[in-house]
Amino acid sequence: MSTRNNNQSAVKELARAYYKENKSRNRILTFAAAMSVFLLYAAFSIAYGKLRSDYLIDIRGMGTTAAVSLENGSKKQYEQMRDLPYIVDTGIKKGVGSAVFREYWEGRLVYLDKDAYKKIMMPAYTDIVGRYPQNADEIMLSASSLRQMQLEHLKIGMEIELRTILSDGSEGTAVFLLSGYYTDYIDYSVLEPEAYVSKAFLEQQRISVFPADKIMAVTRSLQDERDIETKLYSDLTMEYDAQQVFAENPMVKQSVEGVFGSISIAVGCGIVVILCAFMLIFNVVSITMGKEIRQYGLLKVLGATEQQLKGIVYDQNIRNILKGIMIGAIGGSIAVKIFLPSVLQKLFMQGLGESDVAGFYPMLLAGAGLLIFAAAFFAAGLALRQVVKWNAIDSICYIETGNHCRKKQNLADRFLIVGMAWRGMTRSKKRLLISMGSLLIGCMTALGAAVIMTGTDITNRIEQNPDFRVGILTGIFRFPEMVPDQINDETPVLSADMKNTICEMHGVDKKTIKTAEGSYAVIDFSKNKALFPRKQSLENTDTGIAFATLQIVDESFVNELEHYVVSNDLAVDLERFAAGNSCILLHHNELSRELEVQAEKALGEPIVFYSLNAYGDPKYDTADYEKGSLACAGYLDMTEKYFPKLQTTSLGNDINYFIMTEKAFAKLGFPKKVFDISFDLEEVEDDAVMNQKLSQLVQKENQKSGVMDTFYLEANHILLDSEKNRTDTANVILGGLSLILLVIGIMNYGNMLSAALSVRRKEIAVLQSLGLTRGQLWRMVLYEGIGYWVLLMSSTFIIGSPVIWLLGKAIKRKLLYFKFVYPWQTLLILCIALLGICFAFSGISYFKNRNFIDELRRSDD
Amino acid sequence: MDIIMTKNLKKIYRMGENKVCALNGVNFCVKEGEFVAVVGSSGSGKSTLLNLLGAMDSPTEGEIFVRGIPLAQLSQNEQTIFRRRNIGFIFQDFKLLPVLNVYDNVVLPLKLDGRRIDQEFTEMLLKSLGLQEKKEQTPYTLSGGEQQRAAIARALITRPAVVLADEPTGNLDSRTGMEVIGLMKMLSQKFYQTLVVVTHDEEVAQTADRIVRIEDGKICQEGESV
Amino acid sequence: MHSENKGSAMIKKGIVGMNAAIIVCFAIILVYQKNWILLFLLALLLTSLYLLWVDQQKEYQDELGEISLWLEDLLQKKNISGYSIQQDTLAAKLLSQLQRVQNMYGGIAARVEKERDGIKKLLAEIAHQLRTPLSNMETYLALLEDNSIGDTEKKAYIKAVEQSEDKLHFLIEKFIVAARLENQIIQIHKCDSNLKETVAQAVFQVRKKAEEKNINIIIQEEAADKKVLHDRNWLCEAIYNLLDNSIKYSPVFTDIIVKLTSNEMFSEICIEDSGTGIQKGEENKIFQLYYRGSNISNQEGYGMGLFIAREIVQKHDGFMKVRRKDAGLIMSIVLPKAGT
Repeated sequence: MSTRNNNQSAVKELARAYYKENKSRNRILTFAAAMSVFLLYAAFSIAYGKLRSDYLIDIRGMGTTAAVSLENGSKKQYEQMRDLPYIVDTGIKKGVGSAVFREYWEGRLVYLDKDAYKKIMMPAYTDIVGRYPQNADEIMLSASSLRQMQLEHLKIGMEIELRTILSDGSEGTAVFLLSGYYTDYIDYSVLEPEAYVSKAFLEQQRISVFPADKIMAVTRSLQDERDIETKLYSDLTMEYDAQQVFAENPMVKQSVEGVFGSISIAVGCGIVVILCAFMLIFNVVSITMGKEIRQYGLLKVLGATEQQLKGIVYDQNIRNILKGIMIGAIGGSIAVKIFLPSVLQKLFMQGLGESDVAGFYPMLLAGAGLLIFAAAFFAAGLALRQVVKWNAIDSICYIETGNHCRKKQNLADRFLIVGMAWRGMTRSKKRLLISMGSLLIGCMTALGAAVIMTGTDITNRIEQNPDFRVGILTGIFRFPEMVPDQINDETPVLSADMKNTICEMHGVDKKTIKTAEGSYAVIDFSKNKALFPRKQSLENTDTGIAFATLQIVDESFVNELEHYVVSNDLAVDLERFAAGNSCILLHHNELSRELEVQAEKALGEPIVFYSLNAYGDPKYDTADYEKGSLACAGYLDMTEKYFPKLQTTSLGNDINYFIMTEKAFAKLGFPKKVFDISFDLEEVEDDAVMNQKLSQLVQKENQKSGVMDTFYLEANHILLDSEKNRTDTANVILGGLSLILLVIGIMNYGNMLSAALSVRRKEIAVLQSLGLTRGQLWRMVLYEGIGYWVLLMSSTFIIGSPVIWLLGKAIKRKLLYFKFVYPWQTLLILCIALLGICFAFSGISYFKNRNFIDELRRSDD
Repeated sequence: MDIIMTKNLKKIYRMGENKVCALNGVNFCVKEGEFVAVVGSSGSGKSTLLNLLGAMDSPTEGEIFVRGIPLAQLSQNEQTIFRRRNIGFIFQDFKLLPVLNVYDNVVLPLKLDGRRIDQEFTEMLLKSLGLQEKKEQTPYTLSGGEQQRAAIARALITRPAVVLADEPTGNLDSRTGMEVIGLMKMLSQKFYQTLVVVTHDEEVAQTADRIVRIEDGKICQEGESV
Repeated sequence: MHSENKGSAMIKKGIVGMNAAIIVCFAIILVYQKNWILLFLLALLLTSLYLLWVDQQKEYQDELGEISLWLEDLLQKKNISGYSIQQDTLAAKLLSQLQRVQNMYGGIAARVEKERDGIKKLLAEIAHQLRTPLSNMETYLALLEDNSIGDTEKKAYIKAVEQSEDKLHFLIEKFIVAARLENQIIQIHKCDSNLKETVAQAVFQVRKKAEEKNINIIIQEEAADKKVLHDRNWLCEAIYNLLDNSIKYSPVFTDIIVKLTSNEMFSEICIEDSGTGIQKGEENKIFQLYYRGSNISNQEGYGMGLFIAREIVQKHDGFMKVRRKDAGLIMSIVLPKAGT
């Protein structure tokens, strides 16, 4: 390893001189690098933000970070779970009883241990004020509960008097002090509101922690819940047969899994951007080298070694790249910092509070910068490799190949011009490929973006939803004490009055009115074998009789169901169901594996339905109240991915839900109750006005005393607006990405053209002196431009179509509602726009080459 | 001793289908310190010979020894460095770098080797070649003659052991041409350089110690050496 | 040349000291934490770095040592051209510079020796050439001492002695001129004067020789400038030498044409003869000192005329041209115009 020669300054000086010469190249390179870094960083940030948002949506929607929970876990099981390697955190949730606040609020009293609160529940809440209860008389509630309680000015330490009914049955009244409150995002049509009490309270009431209602567990994020369920079943010793491990699935909100932001999309974007940057840089560098190759040959003659030449090239180009990366990094971090939270909000959070992203990710920025630098370095290296290796004398004498025009030609020949245009195009195949390639990527991205945007646009689907829907929040299960005095078989849910009022409302399109109808009934778990699996799945397995919701389903649903059952090969007897002899029990992923097996055995067994009056009868002689029986056609899990859409009334854990055909319902003889009603507005009517009217109506109904349940109003136009918001943001981002890539591709194309032309200037000048008229020149240049356009469009169509079709398939697997629409419109727009650009470039080339006298006079450089 | 020696040198070019034989077995020797003029009609292979002597191209057959070093055995990089340190080359079409001004062009070979720029010598060269006023200008602004003189200055600045010149006076009038040749001769005497000049100008040829004639890739007549 | 001043040396020492302190602290912390693995790795790292440094130093030493050896060879006048390292390293550059030095000074030394040899030869030549006329003079003077010879014979002998004297003069002058020219002692003073007159002067000086051979010297003038910057005496000498040659090698009853032309850049004096001319390829050689062409047959001469002429013309910043004819030769003197 000898001492290096002290000639470093030569390289620097030459690099600087060449740098100053090529101002346009500098600008292009800087722009390319800046854009690429910007795009990469934005893509990465969105992906990362999406991951975070997904997580937040999940936990906030569920109200917990736990992935799985073990019901009725013993202390031993708790300890076991703690030691499992794939369980990160465990927490205990113990129900103490229930509490009532006047007539406004009813909920469960729950104790959470430290881990359960801090690690599992708290992360799902925002705006936490105060702390978890420590003293026996302290309590913590959610802000929505407090709102329901009609408590306005919230203060820590304020007194709240609750009527308590503890799990041992004892009733009492206690004054609690508010130790803290929080904002949660739980949908209370599904989950009961909870109030947290301290361990001291537990001890006061002499209630032991174990067996805990739920031992919640948080797993490492990448594992599927089902896998965890299976693992836990095998790793833990179950206390009893029906002990269930279930996954905490957000069942109400279907997370818009955003095609965006999933890691594969971010990676895809990244690859596309890097590829574009690579091609542009490669092209620019090799074009510059092509122009300067003779000079490099000369430098070699004068004594510049390969390393020195490489140094000169790298020095100039890397300077630009670094400048570009700097600019892109600064611009990118500013843009992301400002826009990311709002983008994420609009795209993903769907009103579930704000995303907690920091907006600045130095690691991602460094990563983006490094990737682009590496790609640029590699591109430059590749471009100069071919040139630097040449013999000195060959480089000096380098003239672009393809100078066939020495033959004397009859310049009047029509096809001659076309031929010349063709030769002009194919002169440097490599350059042609690269420029076309980068434009192709731009076009394909545009097409892909169009596909994504139109396919994931569920506004159509949402529009298909009825404009308005009025339904009930909970169900009969919340008001057992009212049965059968206030609520019996005859009591309507949605009163006839209300129904008429709504139907008669001005603007309602009567043809579109749909209702979910059925009835409530009583079932006896002890009497029917078919109900046994269901019984076991309940939390409280000591029930004898319970409530059931019966819903009538129509023909079209039956057909869909048939399709679903057959294609998934489920143990459901659809013949008898369709015939009207049986019913299906729907549940929310509430069966453990063993119970599923048992459910299959229940096929065909009868289920008896009793009148609601049976509930109030202490004598439990249910036989008097029998209304009818249907065979069990099977158990179906509603949460399964492909389960056909069904408009249900309130549904959730512990609710026994049966579906049957009209015929089957008739057999039972219950009067039909309307659970909810949905309809569309006539065209001319105003959504907002109707919204107001309906809200008023619903509020009035809710305030009526004696009403069983709370009504809610779902206005589709509000959903639509938020969805539009989301799609607009998505469109902006995707559109922006495609546009930038197209711009880069066009720059590449333009650069290539100008380089090709400057080389051929002399040739064209000679041709003109031989007799090529201006008209012919224009035609030649035009044909060349059109040639490029034809090449580009046909390759876009031929290569692009299968690619976007594959893309569509890949997305479909993730998003069920995705619809693949071939982007004809976008293709057409691209065609026209690019044609215009080709024209423009042709025009520029023509004007530059019109005057050839000067060109001929110019001596070789 | 012989500073340049070739043995049966052959160079064949391929132009598509055709084979062009530029040099066909050339045995050529130059003594150290000698001034040799190479004359011949165009296409006779003079420039090819010069290129081969300057290690810019490789022969198809035969050997070249410069300062006792067999050029064919050097790698490309080694040839470049050899050229840098031993040869000054003057091209027929000057070939200056358009990105540098005259002064920078002239001192470039020195900078490439990290050698010191002797300001006095540089000034003397520039003055003798009438470029002193134009040294800040770029080659585009110079006339053909001025550019050629700059190229000549560039070749001489390193005081190389061997100066290879391809029609160095082609773009100069007779008077300037002879001055230039005179300058080159003076320097070659002072610094003990060997000059090999390809020229079609008989006057220039007559100033040389020896005239070598090339025709159709072969040396047809050699003057006797002193 | 030693750029390290005390300041930067101090800074370097400071930095080294600081690094050493950091490493020692680090080592102490590791010992305190009983982190033996890290400590071992640290020691390993330091040892290998130290070994690498030592090795690097040795390499530098070897490199410089090699350079010293080359210089040694140079001092002992051993040829170092045998080595060839074509790399972009300092050592290689130094080697090529040393080789160049050796060649340059060796060549110059060789040339100096050659010149000395040349002078020795010149002296020998002088001695040889002078001997003939001197011995002639001796002979004739001896003969003159004889009183028995007649008047006519006396006159003839005296004439012969005079001739030899002339020859001695001529030879000595020529030799002195040649020697001075060769040693670049002579100065030329140019002034603007009529070229034709200079030419006429030279023609006048050779007329006798021309008449003896019946050779016509014709002066032609074509749009020539009257005044040209030149040193009349010396240029006259040069033209004289050319004319002398032409006359010497031309047959009798031929013409010698002296043509004067000029254009924007120079003035030319063309002397065309129909003599024996020279062989193809001799155009250069005839200007060399003591060169006598292959066509001279029996002519006298010392091979100096053209050399002197060329030296004079070159000192005028001009040059000479030779063109062969089928029979004869065209010699030209080209002089630059004033101001170019």
